[in-house]
Formats: sequence, C-alpha cells, structure tokens
Amino acid sequence: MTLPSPRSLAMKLALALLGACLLVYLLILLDVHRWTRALLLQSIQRQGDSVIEAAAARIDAQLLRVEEAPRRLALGLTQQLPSREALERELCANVDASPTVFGSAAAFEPGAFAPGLQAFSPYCYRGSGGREIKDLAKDGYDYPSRDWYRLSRDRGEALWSEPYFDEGGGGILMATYSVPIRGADGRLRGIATADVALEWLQRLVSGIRVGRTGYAFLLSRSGRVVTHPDTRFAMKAELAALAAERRDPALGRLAEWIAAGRSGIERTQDLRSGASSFVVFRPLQASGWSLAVVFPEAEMMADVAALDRRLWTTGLGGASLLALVVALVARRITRPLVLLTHAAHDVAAGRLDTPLPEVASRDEVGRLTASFAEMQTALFQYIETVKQGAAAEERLESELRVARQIQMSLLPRTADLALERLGCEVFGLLEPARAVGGDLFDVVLRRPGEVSFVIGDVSDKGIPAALFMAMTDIHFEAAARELRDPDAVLARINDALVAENSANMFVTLVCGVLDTASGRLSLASGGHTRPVLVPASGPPHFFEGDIGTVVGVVPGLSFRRHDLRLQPGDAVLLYTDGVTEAHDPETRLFGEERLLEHLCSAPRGDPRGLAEGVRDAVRAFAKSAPQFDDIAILIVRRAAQRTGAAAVAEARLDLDGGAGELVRARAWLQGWCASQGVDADAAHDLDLAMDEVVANIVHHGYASTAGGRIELRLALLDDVVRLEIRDRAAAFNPLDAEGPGEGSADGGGGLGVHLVRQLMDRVDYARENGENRLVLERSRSRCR
Amino acid sequence: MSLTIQLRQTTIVTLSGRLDTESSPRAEKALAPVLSAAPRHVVFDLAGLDFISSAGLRVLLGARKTLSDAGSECVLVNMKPQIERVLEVIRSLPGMKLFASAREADEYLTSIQERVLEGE
Repeated sequence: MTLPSPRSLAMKLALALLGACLLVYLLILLDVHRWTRALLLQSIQRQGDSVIEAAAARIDAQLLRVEEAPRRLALGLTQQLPSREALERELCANVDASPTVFGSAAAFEPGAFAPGLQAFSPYCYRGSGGREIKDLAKDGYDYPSRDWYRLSRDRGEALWSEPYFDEGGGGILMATYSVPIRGADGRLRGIATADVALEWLQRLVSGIRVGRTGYAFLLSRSGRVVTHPDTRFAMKAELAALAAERRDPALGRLAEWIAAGRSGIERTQDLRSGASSFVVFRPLQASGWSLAVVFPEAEMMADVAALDRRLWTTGLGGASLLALVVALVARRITRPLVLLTHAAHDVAAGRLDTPLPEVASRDEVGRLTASFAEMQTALFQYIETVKQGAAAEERLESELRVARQIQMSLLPRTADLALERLGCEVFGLLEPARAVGGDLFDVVLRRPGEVSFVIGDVSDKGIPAALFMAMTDIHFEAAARELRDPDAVLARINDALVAENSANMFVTLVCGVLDTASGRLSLASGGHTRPVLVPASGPPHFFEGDIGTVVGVVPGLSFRRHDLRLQPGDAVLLYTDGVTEAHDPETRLFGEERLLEHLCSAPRGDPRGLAEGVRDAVRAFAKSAPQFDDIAILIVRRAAQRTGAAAVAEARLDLDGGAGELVRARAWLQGWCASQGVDADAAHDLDLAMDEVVANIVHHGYASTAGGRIELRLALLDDVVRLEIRDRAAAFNPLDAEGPGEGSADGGGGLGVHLVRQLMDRVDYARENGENRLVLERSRSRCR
Repeated sequence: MSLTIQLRQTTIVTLSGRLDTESSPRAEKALAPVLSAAPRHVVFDLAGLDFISSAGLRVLLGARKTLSDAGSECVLVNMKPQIERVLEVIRSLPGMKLFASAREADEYLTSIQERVLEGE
C-alpha cells in the first residue's frame, strides 16, 4: 500500500480527523494527570497529618509530664519559702520522679530567697557520678541573662526554651521548661525549671519512616533544625538561613509558615538530597515546635507517572489505529476521484475513448463521474464533427487547387502560337483574387495573319464565376473560329449563354480581331472596361467607341464593331476592372487616369514588360490592401516591321575614345534629335543611355587599351529612334556586366544598366563580325 | 557643370548643368570639403541641373551615405522633370529609398525652414 500524497484528499481528511482526535485525547490526558496529582497531594497531606499526629501525641504526653514538676514547685514557692535543704530535696525529688527530667532548678530574683542574697539558684541534676546538687550562681554563671530565665521572667509566663546543648552537663541536647514563681502579692520571686534531655525525642523523630525514603524532622519555633536523620543539619541549621543560602523561595516560605506556627504542605527541595519533595508540617501543642514530614516526589508520584505512561501508550496505540481506519475510509471515498483524474488526463491527451471508473454509489463522486461521462460523450461527438468538417474542407481545398490548374490551362499559351513570326506580339496575365476567378482572356489564330482575342470579367467571383468563365471561353473559341467580326462573335456568345444561363450571371467582354499585315483592328465591347491604345510613339489613349451591354442576359442582343488601324509597334491593352478598381489602404481607386499616367512613361517595346509594369504599378498602389478583384491584362501589339523598313533619317559618328569625345557625341545626338522632332524626354533618355553605355565600354571593354573606336548610329524608323553603338573590344555586353541588384548605396555599375533598361523601349545585344553591337530603341514621343 | 556652396548651419549645395560620367569626378572633389565639415543639414538645390547619369547619382548617394554616417541629413530639391524621372526609375531598386519623392522633400525642407526661423 503506497502512502497517499500529502496533498491528496484522503491524506488531508485523515490528518484533520487524526489531529482533532489527538487534541481531545491530549486534553483528557492533561485533566486526568492534574486530577490524580491533586488526589495524591490530598492523600500525602492526610498521611503526613496522621504521622505527625501520632508522633505529636507521644511527644506532647512526655513534655506535659515534664511540665508538671516546675509548675508544682512554683506553686509551692508562692507562700512560705522553705529552707535551702528542703528546697534541694524537693528539686531532687522532681529529678527522681521522671527519667525524662535531667535536672530541676529554682532560680531566685536578687534578695527574693533571703534578704541580702543577690543570686541564688539551687540545681539538682543527673551528674556523671549520680545525682548532684549545685548552686548555679556560684561558678560565676550569670543565670538572669540566660534565655530560660530572662524570657520567662520578661513575658511572665511558662514556656519552653529553644533546644540547646548543655554546657556543663556533658554536651547533651536538652530543653528547659520555665515557670515564673510569684509571691502572694503577685511579685515575681524567681523561675522554676525542669530540664529535659532530648535524646529520646531525637530517637523518636528519627524513627519515623514514610514510605521507602520519607522521613520526619523537628524544628524549633525560631526555625532551627532540632532533629534530622542527617547529622549535618541537626542542631546546626536554621531553615531561613538555608533558604537564603540556597536561594530556594519554597524553603523560605516554609520557614516563614513554621515560624508563624501554621500547618500545611509545601513542595520544595529536600534538604538532604535536593530532590523535589512534599513537606507536611504542623506545630506541636506543648512546645510550639514544629514537626515536618518529607515525602520525596519521585516516590510519591511514581504511580502517577506509571498511570501517565499507560495512558500515553494506550493513546498512541489508539491514534495509530484511528489513523489507519481514517486513511482506509478516505481512500475508499477518494479512490474513484483518483481514477477519474487519471481518466481526465487521458481524455485531455486526446484518448477520448478512455473508459471511466465504474461508480455505483449515488454520492457526490458518483454524480461527478456521471457528469464527466456526459461531457466525454459530447466532446467525442464534437471532435468527430470537427474532423469531418476539416476533411471536407481539405477535400474542397484540393478540388480548388485542381480547379485552378484547369482554369490556368484554359488560358492560351501565347508563346506556342508563334505569333511573333506572323507580325503580332501577344502577352496576357491573370491573377485571381481567390483560388479560381471569373476573369478570362483567350487568343485564337484564325488563320496566318489574323488573330482573334477576347478578355472578359464574369459578374461573380470564385467557383461559380470560374465555371461561367469556362463556358464563355468555350463559346468564344467556337465562335471566333467560325466568325471574323468581333460583334458577331459577341452576339453568338450572348445567345449561347442566355440559353444556358440559369444562375442569372453575366459577363462583360471585349472581343477583337487584328489583321497583322494591314494593321486593321476591329473591336467590339460588351459592357467591358475601355481598352487603351498604346502607340509605338505618342501618348496612349482610351478606345472611344461604344461600350455596349453586358453579355449573357438579354437574348438577341447586337453589338457595335469599331475598326481602327495599328501602326507597326502600336499595341492595344485590354484589362479587367481589377486594375482600375484596385484601391489603396485609404480606399482610393487606382482609376483610369492613373493607368494612363503610368502607361505614358512606361517603356513600350515589350508587351510582357508593359503588362507586368501595369500589374506592378497596381500592386505598389494598393500596398497592404488585399487584392479584392481578379486582375486580367492582355496586350496585343502589331510587331514593328523594322526589317526592310526604310529609315526616315540616319546619322553616324565615330569616337576615338579620347577625352572630350563624349561632349562631342552629346552635342551630335542632341542636334540630330532636335532636327528630327524627337521630343525632349526621348532625347534626354537617349543621351543618358549613350552616356552609360559609352562609359561602360570605355571602362570595361577598352579598359586595357589606351582608347578604341566607338561607332554611333542614329536612325528614325516609324516614330522609333534607334541608337546603335558598335565597338571592337573583346566580346562584352555592356548591359550584362552587373545586375541592378548590385546597385548599392555608393552605386555599382548596375545603376547605369538599370537606368538604360528602364528608359529604353528595347535593348538588343549581338556579337557580329568581331564587333559588339548594341541596339537601343526609344519611341520618338510617349505622351506628347 | 557649376557648383555653388553656401556654408551656414544648413548648407545649401547648388548643382547646375550636367552631372555625367565626365563631370561627376570633379563634383565629387568639390563636395569633399563640405562633407568633411559635417554640417547638420545639407540641401542639394538641383534647380539648374539638366542631366544626371549613374555616375552623378553615385556622387549624390556617396554624399548621402557620408552625411548619414555622421548623423546628418540631406535632401534634394527643385528637380527638373527629367531628373525626377531618373530618380523615379532607381527608387524601385533595393536600398534606393534614400531619395524621397519631390513632395516629401518639400515637406522636409519646410520643417527645416521653420526650425531655422525659430532661431535654432
């Protein structure tokens, strides 16, 4: 059996119950202890009293008998004083009468026994050689100053002296009973005494035994220890002095009480052993001395201690048993909780089918388990639901991925059409806002030299739009192959969609056909955004024809065709409203103006660059704002037919690489541009490009040679200025040296290369006949 | 190319003519003492500048770097349209945000002028 954790409910319960029980038991134990102790003290007092009473009775009987002789003597001397001899006989008769009496005397006041006799005190006592008589006044013994005489005379009453050692009589312990002798007139004549040897008293008191080690001792009125089993104390110690010496307040109290003649019990340290003891004391009747009985505490309390030990043992045993029982009961109660906790851990770790502990009881634990079971079931169901949802979502996502692939595959691969060869350049891009979108573009080669194209925007977004877009595209492909004119194509698509359109969706379209040989461009619009015409040279402008009505709603609709002419290098840009209606974080629209402004300065040589430039401009404008609508851009450009086309004007300049040559070249270029009506922007851009390229040739191509020939040619072809730069250095493309990414803050060669690529419409490099030949093209005018 | 330098708390550098492959090394030399004086603000007044090539841009970029390393600031003002167009082209390159657009430069200049007027 493992011990439950100190924090467990079982342990807490057990500890609390056990603690309470132990507290109660401890209180009982204390009470019993105090009660038995009090009982014991009472019994000690009673025992002590009875011992003292018995001893006191015997002592008092003896002393009272001794008191008789001086009383009788004093009474006899009240009237007529006898003769000295008669007095001496009477004294000796007193001694003979009792073996306890050691001696008897009659001491007179000066002149009281006989006139002129200053001091007279006959004394009969037991001498070493039998009974002897002497006059205490002889030998210079000044009896009137002695206690036995003085105290009795001063107080005028009979009294016992303090015990004392007889000085002349062999050093025995004795005490004297003194009785005042008064004449008939009441005047004091003297003191009658009887001495008693206290040896019997010593024997008697020493003989008292209480229990194993208890004993008794006698104290005089002044607190002097008269008898004691230990000879160190008998007649040698004063109780008050001992108390002061030992600094024992209990002993001091005892001394006070005894001096006051009180009786009682006091707990103090034994004089002899120092062990804690109870002392019962009581004054004797006759002499006023006190008898004390000593009960050593250890001996007296042995029974109490035994009782305590027994109670403790029983108590501890009981407590252990109680602890065991409480622990068992608590475990029994909390065991289901522990199992439930483990189960909850398992459930939390995801093992939802963890079996719960069986609890048959209907107590709180049972109800808790039932609630937990309900929660487990609910959780299980919830997670199953979530799992199914997640699986469905994943399926949908993968379907969307496939749908996007399919949609993207619907777009024409313009590169595969080999349109370039046919005098036409096409580039389109499509960026759905979601996985799939409703924008479309398509290009169909009807026959060599005739290209049909379309761009469209379905009224919705997402999967429905994508499906509608696919339908539209299929109809376009079929119609465009059969019909030439874009208005007819639109009408055909419209009718087909109206027939199938059950979802009330519609599409806006611009359809066009380009004859690459003649440059004839036919456009028809079905409610779509206005196309932009981007000439090779000159400002771009919006298509101004009829915009028309949306396609797919109204049956039998007809559209208007507009015929235009594209010069070589001219392009038409088609786009969806994802471009013009893109907005920035402040919800400002990109708009047609901004589109035109961008196209105005954009390089026009490459349809791909033009389309991506528009897309990048939209992105830069929108910044962090999310793309809201699909974006589609399609550019169709009539190829610039430079081969064979006669240059309107041509010029040539040879540089020898010397200093100041660039200044000459610049003047030549600026002068030619001015004469040919090339606008200032174009002239500037060509000037800059020339500066960069010639600098690169000088620093890299001719780096090792002192100077080399550089040949410059200018030509004007169909509104496009062509700058050709030839050099005879080792094979080296001046625009290939470094990428623009290396244009760090202090400027690498990449900076110039980047400028040239961005400012020119077309850049071509070729190595021909040991020459590096770089062709740069720039439209004569873009915006003006 | 001609270059005028006015040394005050705000140093104004006026560039005019052409800043191309040929003239840029001279402009760089002429600018060196201005930069080593580490003025707090440098305004490049480009009102008279007709042409700038990558070599000229490198001179301005180098000056800008030197100044910013010294904790100073510089700004380009009064650009002609073709200069603005060239700067617009390089602004799309990484690390080339240094040249703020003309409008931002104007705001910056105004704030400097206000501070000068307040008698900084």
